[in-house]
Parts: sequence; C-alpha cells; structure tokens
Amino acid sequence: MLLTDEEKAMLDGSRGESVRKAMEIIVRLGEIYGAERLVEFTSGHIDGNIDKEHNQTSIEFLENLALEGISIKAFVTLNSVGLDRERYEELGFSMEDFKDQVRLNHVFESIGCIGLYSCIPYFGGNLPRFGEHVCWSDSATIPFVNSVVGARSSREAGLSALMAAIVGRTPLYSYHLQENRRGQILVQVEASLKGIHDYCALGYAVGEKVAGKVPVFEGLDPKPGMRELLSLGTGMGTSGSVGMYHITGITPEASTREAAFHGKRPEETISITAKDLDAVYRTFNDAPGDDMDFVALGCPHNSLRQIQRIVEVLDGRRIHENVRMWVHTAAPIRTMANRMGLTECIGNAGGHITADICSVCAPVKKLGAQSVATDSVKQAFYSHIFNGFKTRLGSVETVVESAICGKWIGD
Amino acid sequence: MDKFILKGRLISGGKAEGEALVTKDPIVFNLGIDAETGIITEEGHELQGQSVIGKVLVFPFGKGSTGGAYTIFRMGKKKTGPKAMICQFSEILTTIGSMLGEIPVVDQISEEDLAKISTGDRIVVNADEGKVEIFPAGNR
Repeated sequence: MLLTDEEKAMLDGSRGESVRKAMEIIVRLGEIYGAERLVEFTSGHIDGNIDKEHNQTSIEFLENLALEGISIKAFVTLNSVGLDRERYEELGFSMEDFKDQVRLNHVFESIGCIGLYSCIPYFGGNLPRFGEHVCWSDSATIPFVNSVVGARSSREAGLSALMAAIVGRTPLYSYHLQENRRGQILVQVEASLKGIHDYCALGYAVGEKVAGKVPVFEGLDPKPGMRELLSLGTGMGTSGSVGMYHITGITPEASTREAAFHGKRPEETISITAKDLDAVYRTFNDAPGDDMDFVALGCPHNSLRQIQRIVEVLDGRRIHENVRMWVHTAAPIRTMANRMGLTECIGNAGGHITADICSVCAPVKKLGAQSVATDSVKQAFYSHIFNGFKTRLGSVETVVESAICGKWIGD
Repeated sequence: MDKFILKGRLISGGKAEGEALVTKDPIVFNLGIDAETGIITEEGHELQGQSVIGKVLVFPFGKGSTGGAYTIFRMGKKKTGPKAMICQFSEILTTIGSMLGEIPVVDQISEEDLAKISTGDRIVVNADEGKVEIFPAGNR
C-alpha cells in the first residue's frame, strides 16, 4: 500500500507504540479490503455504549490505551448510551446501575472523543460536507451520512473507527470510492407511506432483500423530508448491511436514475407493496394481549420537530398510570425542548424527555418492563434481541394514543 | 479420506490446532453467541446450544451489528472463543475483532472447499501463511 512519510513514521513506531499498533491494524484492513492508500479524515463517530458490546475486557483495553497516552486525531462524536447523566434518578435508576458506563464514557472522553451520545450526530454538530471522507460506525448513521449528506464513510465497526481515529486516517475503500457508490438495485415503491414509521418499515423490508447492495428508490410518496430519510436508512441498516442508498430526484448523487446507476443498468428491480410493509408490522407486533407498560419514542433520537409532534398528539392529556413513556433525544435538542416548554408538557403528561439514552442500552429490565411500544423498527428489533421484549410497532399517533389509553389500539 | 490442505488469505495471524466445528449458517456475533460461555444462542441456528470454545470454527461469514467485533475481541482475550476461525469472507467486524482479540483467521476459502470439512476433523491452522491442514476424523 502507498503510504506517506508521516504514515510510515506512524507504522515504524516513531510516533509511539500505541499509534504503531493502531496504524498496523488500519494498514492491514486496507490491504485485506483492497485499498491502495489511506485517506485523512476530520469527522468520526464511534459506538460507545455498554450493554452487550462493551464489557470488562473492552473497558480495560480502552483504559490501557488511554494510559499509554493516545489521543484521537479527529472530531469524533460518541453514539447513544444507557445513561442520562442529568436525569437517571427521575427515570428510576441509581448511579450504581451505570458503573461500567461511567468508566467507558470517561475513557472515551479522556482520549478526546466528544460525549454527544447521540445517534443523530449531524443534528448535534458533527455534520461533514458533501464529498468529505469521514469514518463513522453505527448502522443507522452511516446510510444517512453517505446518502443524504453525500460524505463518504465505510461501514465501520466501533473498534475499527476508534483505531482509525487514533491515526487520523482510514483506508480508502468501500463507499470512499466513487465506483462503490453506484446504485445496484432499483426499488419501485408501490405502497403509500403514512409517516416516518412507514419509512423505517420500508427500509427494513428492503434491507432484507438487498443485503449489502446499494438500492435506488423510486415512487416514494409523499416526498421524504430529512427525518424520513434518516428512518429509511435506519431500517435498512437494521435488517441488511446497507451503508448507502439513493432516491432518484431527492438525494444528492441521484439527480436522475442514470446518475444513481452511474449510467449502467440496474442489476435487479424489486417492488415493495403494502403487503411487504404489513409483514414487517406483523413481525414486530408480537406482544400478547393489549396491555401497555413501556413506550420508547426516538430511535434514532427525536428531532425537535418530532418532539413538537408528540406534544401535539398528547394535546394536554396524561398518559395512563401503568405506562412509562420515554422520549429520546440528544442533549442539545433537550436544551431547546426545555426552552420551548416541551419538556414540561411531556413531564406533565407523565412522560420523560431523555438525553443521551437509547433505551435498548439502558437497564430497562430492572424497571420491570416486559414489552415496548415504539414507532421505530430498529427499536423493536434490538428490544427483542437485547432486552428479550415483546414489541408493538405503529405510528407515533397510535403509540401516544395507546399510551394514554393504557391499551394498544393498533393502527 | 486423507489429509488435505486448503489455502486462503491471512486475516488475523497466528497458529492453532483443534477440532472443527462446522456450520453453513452465518454467525451473528453480537447477539447470537454468549461471550462468557462460547455457546451459540441464536434461535434456529444450526449450532444453537453448542460451544465454540477451543474449536476451529468453520462458517461462511459474520453478520448483524458491527458491535460483534467487541464480542470476538472479548472471546479472544478471555479464551472463551474459538482457537481459530475459517470462513469464506471475513467482513469488518470479524476482521477487527479477531485481530485485536488475537484469534487466527483465514478467509477466502470457497463454499465448496469449506463443505469438505466436517465437524470433528482435526485442523491445523497457520494463518500467517493462510494455510489450513485438515485431518478428517474418519481417518484417525
């Protein structure tokens, strides 16, 4: 592989042993996946949660890196975690529940990562420009940064993004290269989409069919906004390993179908109908009876507009006393929600606006919850797997109305 | 069947020897395997309920959340995982997890060649050279 003088110095140990080890891994990754050279990047995003993924071994590994004096060479934000450090008590936890999370947050922050703890880092200050090379992990953030922003990231694992951040370089491979951004599968959408929940379900259905290929969407009606785009990519990152997609006439590298496919023909054309979406809703509506105990809205984290919408649907009413309702967002957005009185509205209704949290990563089992109702397929999918929950999936209106009734009313 | 040799690509270096545990199903490292006990827990997986500890794990590829890299890393460090892994294609999570967890891995062995390996065969892996020697169990 072609290395610059500085990269060679990192690799031969002149920049310290930790940098050498990280560089060795980045160069090996580049060799394995066919990169001709490395590329410097300024924007990174790392998965930093504790449940399942991190553990004592990982924490000790990271603490040792920090002790060796490494620091990261990019603007790197951290993904959502289980702890809301300002409101954990209000949510029913004690600091004892987060000993490992606090250690992990501390070690990541001590090496220079930014404790944004959000899965919508672009709305919290980490927004690269079109065409910029970046190094991001987390399956939902990657399709957005590639497809909607038009920046270029491979689908990194948290560990590889961390190694890359230590040397400030990532291999020039995968979606960093123009040819790998070419659309491969034409997806004709014949279902009408009633909200962000449908965009997320559509993404899930398509991810199952296209696996790791680049889909090109046509026929989306009504036209998606930013949040719909985010949810579409989230669904695909959940069921498939999609890191890039196009929508003809909407996303920046797909002004026309021809542009999306780089002038080539689609390898395959698939169509998605209402039946495909129904199948997704059936899969994720498996909670028995109609009793509700836990509602989680905001996967990925809610935008300010979505929080406004939740308050509109609540319309001054209280949620049922048996139901716990968490509205997830990023800390900067909660600050705005506080200022606008939205936090108070949701509090008065008996719910909570949380910051930093993904409830899948939080110890919610400890609170006695058995099932979760949500508007996000990703939330439902990982609640099954990580928390062993049965789930309910519907529009935000259905979820909030159900929370008020204390019974699932269905769409 | 006599001993045979397969050549693949070095992913994560090292040498190891052990009994093969073979599956045609992809492995979800993040949630389909218990990193403490090494037992495959994914519902409906061909190897559900079996432990990978001390085995040479033979599988097509890893899938699911990239957090699985931490699972492989942990199994490697705590010795609660396979001694080595052989697969068709090592995606980023398998690669970075095994490199840092120091589990020897060889990939780019075709589906056809992987099918020649049976659970219970003795396997000698020299990942540095991308070399896998198979001593079929029937021959011992």
